[in-house]
Amino acid sequence: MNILINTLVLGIMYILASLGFAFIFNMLGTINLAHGSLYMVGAYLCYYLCAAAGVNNWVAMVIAAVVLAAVGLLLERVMFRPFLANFDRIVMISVGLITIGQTIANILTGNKAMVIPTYAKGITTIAGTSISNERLVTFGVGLVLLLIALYIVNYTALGRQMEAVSQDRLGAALQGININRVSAIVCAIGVALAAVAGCFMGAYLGLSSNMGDTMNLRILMLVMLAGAGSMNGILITGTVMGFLDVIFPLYFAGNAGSAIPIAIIVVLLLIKPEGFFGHELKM
Amino acid sequence: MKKSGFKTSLPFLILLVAFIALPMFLNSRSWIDIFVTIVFNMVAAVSLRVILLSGNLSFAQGCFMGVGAYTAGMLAVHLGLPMWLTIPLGAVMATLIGLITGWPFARLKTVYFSMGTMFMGQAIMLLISAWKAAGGAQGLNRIPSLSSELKGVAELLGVKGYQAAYFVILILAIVSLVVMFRFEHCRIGATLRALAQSEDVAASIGVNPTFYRLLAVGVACFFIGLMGGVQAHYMTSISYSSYSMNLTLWLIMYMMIGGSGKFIGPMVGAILITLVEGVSNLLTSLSGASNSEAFVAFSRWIGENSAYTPFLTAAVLLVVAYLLPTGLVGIPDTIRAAKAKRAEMREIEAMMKEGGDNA
Repeated sequence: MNILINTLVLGIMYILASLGFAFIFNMLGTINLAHGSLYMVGAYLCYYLCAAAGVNNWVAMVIAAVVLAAVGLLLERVMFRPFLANFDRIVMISVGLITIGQTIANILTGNKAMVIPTYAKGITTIAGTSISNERLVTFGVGLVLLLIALYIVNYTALGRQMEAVSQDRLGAALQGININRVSAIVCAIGVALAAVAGCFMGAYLGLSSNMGDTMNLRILMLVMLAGAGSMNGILITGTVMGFLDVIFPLYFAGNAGSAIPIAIIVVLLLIKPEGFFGHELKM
Repeated sequence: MKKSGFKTSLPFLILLVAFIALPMFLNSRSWIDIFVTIVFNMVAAVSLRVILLSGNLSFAQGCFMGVGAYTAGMLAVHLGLPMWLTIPLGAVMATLIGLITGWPFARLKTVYFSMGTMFMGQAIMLLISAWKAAGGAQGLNRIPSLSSELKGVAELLGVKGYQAAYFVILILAIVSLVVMFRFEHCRIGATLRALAQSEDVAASIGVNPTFYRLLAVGVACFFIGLMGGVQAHYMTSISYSSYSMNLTLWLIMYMMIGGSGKFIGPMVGAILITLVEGVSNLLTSLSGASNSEAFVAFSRWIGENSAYTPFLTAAVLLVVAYLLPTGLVGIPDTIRAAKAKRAEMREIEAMMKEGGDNA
């Protein structure tokens, strides 16, 4: 039962964090290695608003999300739009961003253990298993955000425009879709979702300067595993990823617990490099 | 495309003279450490470019350096093998693992290859860190030191042990670089470039893509594994975290900052970024010899704020990314292109003026 709950919580956080990455991967056909760093920046921002400025948890989370959405807009303008066809330069800029984020985090954290104050206290007992309210709240909010994101993708004009852009940029532009506007909105939403995931994970696992790297690897793995252009695939691979990350550390001590899931993913990717649910990306 | 031999080899000659002559004068331990780091990074970044020749960007190269280092270190610590055996065995091990893992990856393309190798590198390093015999998360310690091994030779020559170690490393690096340069400029290099441009066309004229891709991977892994093995014996203690994703990302950055179009590009990038990263150590070493009080104060200030130096590196990255599309070695070409364009414009203007006069 606990395994199930932890799987669901971790899975939904992975999915939230990787949605933005997947949007960018699908629509712009490029990878944003700095996505994990943005997730980390969201968590740190939330921590400082809560702990240093004494803002309410939820307000802090909303502020962090809004600020990071603005960062997403900025990134789309200065990073993705000018260098769309240039993988090398996007990698360079994102490594620059990673370096900046990590340095700031290192200076701020030092050796301190920092945890975002919990969102909900207490324990609830469901069917004989006691679960902390924190997990329930994390799961609930994550699920709601995920459903909203899925609704936007599947049932709104914006979602249809996103689909059109990811299928054919030029064709979408000819149909009168403002490609740049759609990309900008999508980047903003995606980065904001990553920030929200950061805020929750900061309360769940604590803050550290390498949390961005860890998450980055997870995001990359589950998006590559799902394949380009597949939203539902991410839901499945995200849950699988969460399950692997919950189950292996129970049986293997230390780094082996994180090495084995990665090895499994490598094997799966070798079987089907273009991902299990999407289509191959032309580059 | 044919250039005069002197003009192409001049930059290499300058670098060679600099790497031989400078450590003669700047012979403190901290200076030699900086030079050694530069040499390691240079060879590693060049080896990355060997794989890139075939059109794929590998994200696992740092891990093979780790494989070389751990193989050499563990053979020396657990079996007590001598250094001249452990270092080549480290390189061979890196090549083997590179070939075994590279074989299934050879059919992947572009971003799929990059991501797949990235996960694989990460998995290998995490597995090593989970291995008790490899020292676990603490890393491997008490590896026999290259400097003390060379003490006898060093005394004969009248230099210190670490200086002798530096020159051994330099000789190995020069050999590696020359071999990789020849590899790129012989028939195989041309075949790899052809594969990068169009695998289908290359395959249609009888090139075996898998064979040539694996050949490039093998050569690259051999030399980076060699450097890893030497590094283990130079540093005497290694940790898995220094061969993680970050190392690979920085190797890629060296290559891109220098410019991946030319052989010398990754070398230039590695030199520049290693110097910028170590700027506080560098200034401290310099201020020891300096008389200027302001300079000493400045270097002390930098040393106190050394936590902020990664910002400098990030700034270099962003400047190159935005302003120099072909990297640092591309600057002369960019200037030449701009000049040619301006001359053309002037010509057109002159022609238009002439036309106007005639009318």
